[in-house]
Amino acid sequence: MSDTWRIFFLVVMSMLTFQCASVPLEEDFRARWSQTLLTDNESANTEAEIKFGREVAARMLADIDGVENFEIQKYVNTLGNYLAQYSARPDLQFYFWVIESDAINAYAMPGGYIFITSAAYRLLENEAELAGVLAHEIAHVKQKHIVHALDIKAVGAGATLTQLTSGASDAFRVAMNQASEQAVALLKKDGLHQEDEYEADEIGLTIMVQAGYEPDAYLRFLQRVAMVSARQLEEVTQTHPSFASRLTALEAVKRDYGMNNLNYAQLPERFNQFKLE
Amino acid sequence: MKNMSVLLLGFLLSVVSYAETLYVHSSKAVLLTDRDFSSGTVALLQKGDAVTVLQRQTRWVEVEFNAQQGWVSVLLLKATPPSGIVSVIGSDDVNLEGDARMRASAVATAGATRGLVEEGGAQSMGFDFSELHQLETMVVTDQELDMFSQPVLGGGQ
Repeated sequence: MSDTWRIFFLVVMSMLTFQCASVPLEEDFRARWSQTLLTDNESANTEAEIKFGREVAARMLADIDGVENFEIQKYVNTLGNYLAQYSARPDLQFYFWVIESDAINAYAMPGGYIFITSAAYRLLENEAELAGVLAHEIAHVKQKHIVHALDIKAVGAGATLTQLTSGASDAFRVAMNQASEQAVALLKKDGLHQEDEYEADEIGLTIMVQAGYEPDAYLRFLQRVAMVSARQLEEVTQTHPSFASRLTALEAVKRDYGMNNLNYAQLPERFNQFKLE
Repeated sequence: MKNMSVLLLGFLLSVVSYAETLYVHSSKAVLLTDRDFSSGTVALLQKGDAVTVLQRQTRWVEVEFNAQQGWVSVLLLKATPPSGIVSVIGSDDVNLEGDARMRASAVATAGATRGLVEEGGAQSMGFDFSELHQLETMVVTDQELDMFSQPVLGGGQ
């Protein structure tokens, strides 16, 4: 073999090695992450996602009113939008709203509409804990968990989300109505896939850390919630994995990402200025 | 022999040009020295910055930016440049790009001109668009976000 061919062979081999290095090394759950990177350029669907989210949010608000305290709503909305800057969804305007409910829960609707209940809010002790809850919901929006869980194509008999939200025909309007009804059922009764909840915990934790909040605060909040009366937890235990398994998974996330001993912000004083009586 | 050299040169150039580019999609992204949030900071990337991928792992990507190398969370990067905010609020679907103050003003105007009931009278069918419009008027400006972030990034306890 001549020197030239030898060099050519080495170059080809090194290129193949380079290509292999860019392939994700782990499978299953890991593949979901690589998909996030590779296929998340679907900006054409953003308008449909927002329209659908508005329908779901308006349906939720028909049953539950927002807390009538402008300062608290403004504070929560500002914190949420601050966190959303780290969600890598610059195509969305996020909205955060505290709603009156005895159930301890928070809800993420497509398109960036996020609600937290007054009961959950009352249980918080500092801003980092609130950041953890909102970041978890932002992660659901980022990953489009509800849209994926509903399998819109099935709901609309072959229709896409864009067609459903177009209202182009009575059939689409009926299908859209059904889809938003099913979304509310998912949020309040049936829950998302368990793996979506673990993923939202993991992504939420990275969002709050990137934004500068202490990750342990979120774990402490989940521990506190787990101690609350079963009646107030009925909805969240029905729709989420157990607190024990979530906390175990979160500890692993903290370890894997090097999030231990970060000593980031918790801001109890600022949060106390916006306590809900 | 000369032809072979040309072929080899072309091949080498194609390898160089293969370098994958990703774009920062969060407002800021810390370029870290290692795959670990407790590691040191190399640089602070801004939304829209283009980085060259050196290697990709499960949750992290090693990148080069302005001749500096480091690791960024895979969650903050995408293959296409970030777009502006998409809005459907108003009479027709609107694409609003630019700063948050403009968006706030446009949203408030849209809310004011639209009235409190969504077209089609959906409110009577188990929807409350009037409260939805109320929350949609609460848009936060870039200046408010900057002020809000100061105690957080200062590590306030």
